[in-house]
Amino acid sequence: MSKQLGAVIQTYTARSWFWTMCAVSLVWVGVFMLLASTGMLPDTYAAFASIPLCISGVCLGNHLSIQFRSAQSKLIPKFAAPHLTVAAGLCGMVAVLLVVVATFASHGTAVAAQWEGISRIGLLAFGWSLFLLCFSFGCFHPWAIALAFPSSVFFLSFIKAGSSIWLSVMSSGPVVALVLILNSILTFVLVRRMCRLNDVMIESHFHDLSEPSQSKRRAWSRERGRFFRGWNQTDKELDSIRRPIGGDLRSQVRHFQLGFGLLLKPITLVPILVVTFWVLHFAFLQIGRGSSIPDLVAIIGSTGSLSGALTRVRTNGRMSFQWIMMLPLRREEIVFRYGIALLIHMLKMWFTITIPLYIVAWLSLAGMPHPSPSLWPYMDSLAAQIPLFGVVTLFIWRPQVVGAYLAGAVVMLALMGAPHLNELGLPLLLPVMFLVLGVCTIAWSYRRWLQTDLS
Amino acid sequence: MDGKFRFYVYPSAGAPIYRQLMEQVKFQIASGRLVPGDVLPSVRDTAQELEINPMTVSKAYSLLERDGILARDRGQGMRVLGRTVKGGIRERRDELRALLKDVVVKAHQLGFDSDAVLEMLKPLLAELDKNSESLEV
Amino acid sequence: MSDVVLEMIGVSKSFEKTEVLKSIDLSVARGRVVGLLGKNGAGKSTLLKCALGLMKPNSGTATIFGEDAWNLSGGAKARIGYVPQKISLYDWMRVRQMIAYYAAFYPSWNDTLTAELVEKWELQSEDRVGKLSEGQLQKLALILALGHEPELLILDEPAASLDPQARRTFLAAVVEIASDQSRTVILSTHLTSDLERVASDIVMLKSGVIQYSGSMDDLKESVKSIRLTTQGRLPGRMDLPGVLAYEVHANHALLTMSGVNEDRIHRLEHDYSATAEVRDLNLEDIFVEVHRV
Repeated sequence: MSKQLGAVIQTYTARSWFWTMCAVSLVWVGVFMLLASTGMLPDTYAAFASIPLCISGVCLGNHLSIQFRSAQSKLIPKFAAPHLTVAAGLCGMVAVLLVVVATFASHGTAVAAQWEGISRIGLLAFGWSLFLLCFSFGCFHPWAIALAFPSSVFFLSFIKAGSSIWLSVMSSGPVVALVLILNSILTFVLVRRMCRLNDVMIESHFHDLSEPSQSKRRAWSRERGRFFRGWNQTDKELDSIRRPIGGDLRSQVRHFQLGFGLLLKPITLVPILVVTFWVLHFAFLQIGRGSSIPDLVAIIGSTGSLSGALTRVRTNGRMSFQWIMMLPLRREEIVFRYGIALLIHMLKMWFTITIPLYIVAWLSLAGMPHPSPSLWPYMDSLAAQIPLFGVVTLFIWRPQVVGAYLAGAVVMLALMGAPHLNELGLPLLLPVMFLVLGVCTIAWSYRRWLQTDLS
Repeated sequence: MDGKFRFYVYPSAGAPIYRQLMEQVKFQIASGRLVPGDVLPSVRDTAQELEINPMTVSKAYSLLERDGILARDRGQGMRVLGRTVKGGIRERRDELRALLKDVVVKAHQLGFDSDAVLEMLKPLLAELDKNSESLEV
Repeated sequence: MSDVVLEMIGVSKSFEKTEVLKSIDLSVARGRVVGLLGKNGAGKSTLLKCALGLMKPNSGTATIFGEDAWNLSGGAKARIGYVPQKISLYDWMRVRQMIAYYAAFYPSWNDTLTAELVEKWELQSEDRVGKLSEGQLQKLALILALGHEPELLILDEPAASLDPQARRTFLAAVVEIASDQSRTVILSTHLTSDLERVASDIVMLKSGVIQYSGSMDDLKESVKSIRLTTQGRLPGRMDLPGVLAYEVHANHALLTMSGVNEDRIHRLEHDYSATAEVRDLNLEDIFVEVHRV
């Protein structure tokens, strides 16, 4: 058994993200010790703890799904036990880490009173639910790693917004008991389903092969295609490609943009987002946290465009650059046009997110003496797109996107701190910094694109 | 001769494909299945049918042309020429001797003595004489 | 116009510390069908990528149509068709849209040819690219590489995930391309059977060094297996010039030798007072022998 466990552990240590996670959690513990030297409030602790929970959940889910999806899971005798044991061990390590940190946080005399009414088991139960959510996400959704960061950020803001209510819910006995029972059932179901991942794959594969159902499916998908064509912007545009494309920059950039394939036109998304943001804003007002718009601009404005651009470019993998580079244009022409197309794509996403936010902010101020909301958060966030673009283009090559998301996190924190700079009378500091950083990263990235090998 | 002349090739054999094609033409002529005036399939058709590189076919044809076995007909492709004897008697004798040497070595290895080999050669030679008579008629 | 389509002079390429290509010299003339043969990891893909300017050699020069490969002009690229080893296209596009998208980049495109190939290779033009199997994806990539009727077609392990029947149709298509004598095709593979029918030239690559470069016929004609039999005794070592591999028993020896001709056989027979028996080797035998050294 110990030999098997060693082999399973090796599957983790061989992956680079595992060591990145270890390093990040070390840094996390260090930062925590620094912040909590005089104790830490329970809601801050919950927000702080949610990030490693989310990320480790998604990574673990992804790793296990790779292991159980392979045919080896069927062929190797006693496959499940060592794999699940190691996974459970890792979960246990995360849990122990969080418990240790919680005891440390609640020790300070200044915060002891706030921790008084908080049920530790309640915290554990809710942490468990969050972990399960992220785990199943990582297990069954292929892009989960790219989306782990935004979802944990979302959770963070959620907890921060309504901490008092959440904490009281977490401490009520019956709720905690219910959550614990639900968690146990969910864990059992998840593990069972994961152990059968390979069967599910095989079944669906055979299903594909059976002739009549396939032709039926094809006919159905054609029907569906015809129905959705009206909605699907890319399909429509692809069907009306004019050949050959013009020699001018504009039509060439437009053509490269088609390669990013947006499902809906940004303008159709705006009304949907206005409604969503309005509901969110209203909920936050009810909780009594005041306007959340500037925070939302900072958070979604930086991570939304970043993850949108990365997932779009990376779904077709790094290898696609090989044939893109062999298109009948010079290398620097291709890099320039592809880059502009990507920048436009990012800015489009950014406007799609921020215009609804601005509309909501404006609506909420209706009837007040100063009817137009401040534009500063938007200016800062727009300036932040420049370095983000540089980072995205640098990281498209790399197999691990973690770096891009770390950069996104730094930008986001800087944007959240922007109001303080305004109070200090330095409103231009951040945009200028972004501009300089952006120019540097883009120049670096352009050089790399021209010099690098395509393997 | 009925039907079209067909080539067969064994791509994974040791002999280059162009040589296989040349041997087949020579053998078919020797055995009387190809007669002077017959037209061989075009380079393109042969290449496509056998799924081989056209350059291989044209190499075989031009070598056969050089050897005086085929002639290029304008617009019609390659035509089989009558039997002609090329080269001096000495060279031809050397070529034949080299071939016969292989036969002798092999026969020795297989355990036949010289009488047995000569006995076996006789009917084969008789058949060749009959074929060339029918060609001349 | 020069007859050399692709040329590499002294090209070396290393990744970190491993040297993948060691001073490659290669010249491909117009109208040839070149098979690049080597084991997995011999550096075939790297060689093709350096030749195409997708990778920058550490030293040496690579040219295509007389232009520096790293700085190819758009016009030169429009005359090249390339199918990479790992294909990733836009998953959300339909087959028909993918072809139209790709075609738009090129100044001229043969729609009849691509439609014919889509039909022949049983692709559904309404299917999404992401749903295609490996083999179908390879066919689609090949169609994309053929649509602009390139003068130079470079295929990196093109038949790797095709079934035997699709392999034959694919090779037949290569024959058809080759029958237009101004086209040049370079295809890499580790299977000799892919090349036996179609290749006019063979480039054998072994751990980054070209072992043989020349016509397939010359290769088959010059590399032979020779069996020496003698009444006396043969020496234990027979590593003569040109011998690729040898096996010596008491009074007979088996040699695999390159550069074989009548003279050399006579000399062998004379030197060892033995009788020589020469046997042809096919491409696979030669490949195995070359890799045994």
